[in-house]
Amino acid sequence: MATLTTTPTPAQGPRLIRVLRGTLYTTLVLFFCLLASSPFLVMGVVTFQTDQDLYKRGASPFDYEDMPTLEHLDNLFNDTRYLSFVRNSTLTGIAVVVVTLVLSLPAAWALARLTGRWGEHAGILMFIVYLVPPTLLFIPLFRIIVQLGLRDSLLSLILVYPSISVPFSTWLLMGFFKSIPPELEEAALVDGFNRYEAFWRVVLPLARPGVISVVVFTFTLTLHEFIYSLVFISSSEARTLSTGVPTELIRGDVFFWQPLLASALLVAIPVGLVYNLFLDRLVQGFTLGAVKG
Amino acid sequence: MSEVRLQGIVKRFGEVQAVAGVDLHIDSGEFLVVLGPSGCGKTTLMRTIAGLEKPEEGRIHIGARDVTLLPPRKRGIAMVFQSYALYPHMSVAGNIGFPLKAQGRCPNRSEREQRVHQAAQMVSIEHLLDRRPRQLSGGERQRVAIARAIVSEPEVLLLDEPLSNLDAKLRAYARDELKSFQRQLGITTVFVTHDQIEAMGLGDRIVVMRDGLVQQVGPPQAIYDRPQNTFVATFLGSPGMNLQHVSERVLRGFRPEHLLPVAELPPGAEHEPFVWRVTRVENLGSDRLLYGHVPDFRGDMQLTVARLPSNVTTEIPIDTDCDFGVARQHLHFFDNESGERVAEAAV
Amino acid sequence: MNAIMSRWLDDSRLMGIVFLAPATLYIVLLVGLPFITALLFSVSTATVGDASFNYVGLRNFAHVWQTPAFRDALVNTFSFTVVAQIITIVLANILAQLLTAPLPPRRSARIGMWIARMLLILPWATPLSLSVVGWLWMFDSKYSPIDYILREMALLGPDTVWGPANNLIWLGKPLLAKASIIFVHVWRMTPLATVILMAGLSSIPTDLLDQAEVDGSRYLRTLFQVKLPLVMPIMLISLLFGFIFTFGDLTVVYILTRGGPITHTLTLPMYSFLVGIDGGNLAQGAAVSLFIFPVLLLVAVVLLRTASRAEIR
Ligand SMILES: Nc1ncnc2c1ncn2[C@@H]1O[C@H](COP(=O)(O)OP(=O)(O)O)[C@@H](O)[C@H]1O
Ligand SMILES: [Mg+2]
Repeated sequence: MATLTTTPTPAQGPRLIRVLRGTLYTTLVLFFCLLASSPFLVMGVVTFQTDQDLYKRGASPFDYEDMPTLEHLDNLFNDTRYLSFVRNSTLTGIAVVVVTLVLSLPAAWALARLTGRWGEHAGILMFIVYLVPPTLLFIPLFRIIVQLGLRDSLLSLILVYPSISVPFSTWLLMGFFKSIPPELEEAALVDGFNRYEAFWRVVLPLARPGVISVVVFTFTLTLHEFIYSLVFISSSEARTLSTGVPTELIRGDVFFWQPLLASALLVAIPVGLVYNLFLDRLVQGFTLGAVKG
Repeated sequence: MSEVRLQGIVKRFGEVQAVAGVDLHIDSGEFLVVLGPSGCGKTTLMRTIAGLEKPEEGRIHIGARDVTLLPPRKRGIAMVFQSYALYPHMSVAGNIGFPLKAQGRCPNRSEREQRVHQAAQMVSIEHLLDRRPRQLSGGERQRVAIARAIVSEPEVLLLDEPLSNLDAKLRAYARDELKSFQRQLGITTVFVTHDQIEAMGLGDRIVVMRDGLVQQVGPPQAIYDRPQNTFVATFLGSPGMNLQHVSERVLRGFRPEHLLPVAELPPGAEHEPFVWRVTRVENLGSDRLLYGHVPDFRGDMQLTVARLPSNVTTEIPIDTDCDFGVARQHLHFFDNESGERVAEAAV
Repeated sequence: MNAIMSRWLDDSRLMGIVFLAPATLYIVLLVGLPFITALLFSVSTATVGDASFNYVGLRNFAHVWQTPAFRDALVNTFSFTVVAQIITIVLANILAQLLTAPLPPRRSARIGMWIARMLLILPWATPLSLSVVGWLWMFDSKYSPIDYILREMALLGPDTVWGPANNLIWLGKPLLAKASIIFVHVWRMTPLATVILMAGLSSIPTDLLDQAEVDGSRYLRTLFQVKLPLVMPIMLISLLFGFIFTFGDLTVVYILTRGGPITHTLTLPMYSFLVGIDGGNLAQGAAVSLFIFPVLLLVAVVLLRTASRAEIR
């Protein structure tokens, strides 16, 4: 029988080494954090500075000599179309996510279940389509958009953006579907569902982490996209964040720095919060889709 | 080769006490088997010995050294994981040689190659040295894992269910090989398993665990013949010991193979008569298993099993009262509440 | 009728076709067709105003090839991409190690890690053009906060190493401008590369790492001989992403320098935009951007083949 002799185990390792290791770790993390967030820290300061404060040569850009002001935020919201840019970006993002899922989920399933040589090459083919960058296609697509009469319409972006997101999403989801054993579907077939119902009820729920990754990636792609938005849309109302803000707040050589920088910060914080919440699942989705698939 | 001493080892994961206070003394050169159901803390105990887990309480000695705070590499142990954990990107030779390189014990390349070769030879895989793990069968992988474990000549060898990934036929063979191999090297070995047949066949001594606690320690036969409590009694043997309430306080137990038709009981020995109705017979070739329900002292029916070796050819009529008996010396008594073994005199 | 219907519903081949058709059609129409149009443009005289097709053979390519600006763009595109990728992958590896290291079981450590993750993810969460505008301010010729810090550290200004001027004028000098662009590429690619590497690291079976520890392997040996070889395939995929994003990127250059000073930071996408859209010469613009494709194709094939060979399962 076990007799309980209670000998507490002391902490491990020499104290000095533990402290040094901890300090090195913290220093490195802080270094990376500073590197990644430095423009945003500056944005946070500049947003509330008066013009006098901002354009004072040689003085510290981080100090407030005048009272911090909300004038530029007011300016951004009331004198520019910032809110409509936000709305356009959000609408485009959501629409493109939906279109991407509708196109890539079934395609990924079909490709994942293809066996033999075709199955192996399908993934590579998808990746190669993904390689055709907007910089190569924007010129001919511009012509197509003009001919379709979609110039200056958000529809042009909703039509074109999936060409960036569908190949990638299909490739990632393929990995997911490959990791789902066909027996699960077959069991559903035996239970009396047809193949489409089996896909809907059995396969899709299992691919949820992949779907989350695809949603985040697609949304990010549309949020960042610049060329198509710049080329297809020239009216201010229909612009998205990525092109609207720079075109409205940079007039020739004149930069309206405070609202410009504020606009970036105002997107970064909420989107960053959401991404941070999803980060673990994003890593998990990538693990299952790209690493194991 | 060294002895291993564990004193009051406690390992918690949050609320769960995976190891709840274990004292154990493993002799130098001994083959000790840790046996228990899944989730009882065997792996955790082994990882604690290896240094992969730091215990919250207790001390661990290997030989004369207190290794409680030492990292695995300073403990002189080697371990084989249940999954074998072969490095998939290295050849078999690379796998076996890795501990030598990592421990910097063998800086000379040709000497290292020679030791890798020797280790491979011991488990007869020298023809596989250039292969990758994925090109090997399960049995071959297990050998590679063992070769990698012994190449650095550890003082203690830790094996976590190393045979559970092999098919049944291979397992019996590997068991035999492992045991003779261990004898030859004389290395102190801790072997974890949930399979009582493996435990009985391999162990110089067996440690039976349950819920993070040691239930009983001893040579296989001793544990089988004199289980310390009802858990050990029913966990060992297949099927386990029959237990019956004979009073509010006492359980009586006997092994299925000791319940025999009266005519088959050893002559001369005193025996306890046992009249029961057999409801079903299973013929296993080497044995017959008889199932029946027998009332306890309250009249509640309890399942009872008897095992007759095939040389007992007595006809057993179904659903008819039969005269059976158990030799007195084969009866065990346990306290109903604690489950602990009690002397017959206490009944 | 019902029987036919249910036969269709159970035909797996039909289902494959039905499922594959929309995406295939879409890709053919919106990638395949424009791609062919780009090819056609590049062998014609198309301009924004004139869509008529005049076959001119490879004259556009020949013309473009002889332009010094194009040569600059080609060299820059390559050097920016390669240098940025090398730095990114090193930083992402270090960062992934830091973020997957075990934390002390303290509340403050968890909160600190949460904040760190938040800060590290910001470059990825902001529309690239807006964050590059942020960098434009950081590199401003008069008010650059970086210059201010350098001045405070007595590295810049009269009688200092980088003096005597009070400002470095980051985007106005060829070498500094190139370095700035590479830096911004690294800055924006590192979060994604880190996430991908973290996925790779978290898929290494813990048994293997425990085994390495039992085998006596120390931190660096485990990192270089066990972890990195095992994440190599996924690391190559991350490199591929980075390569595509950087090679085909217009945003960073467009906002920071528009290719300047003169053509010192010109890249193929930027040149293609300047010629094709700003200059209205669709044909030559298409010819410029077509130079991108074979390069990307080659890189992709090489990386994917290496990745599948490095695959260990
Ligand atoms: N890393 C861990 N974190 C949390 N709980 C654990 C961990 N490892 C083991 N446990 C728990 O400890 C108990 C014992 O586990 P283990 O030692 O693996 O048992 P065995 O090897 O006997 O099957 C189980 O309840 C298990 O869930
Ligand atoms: Mg276990």
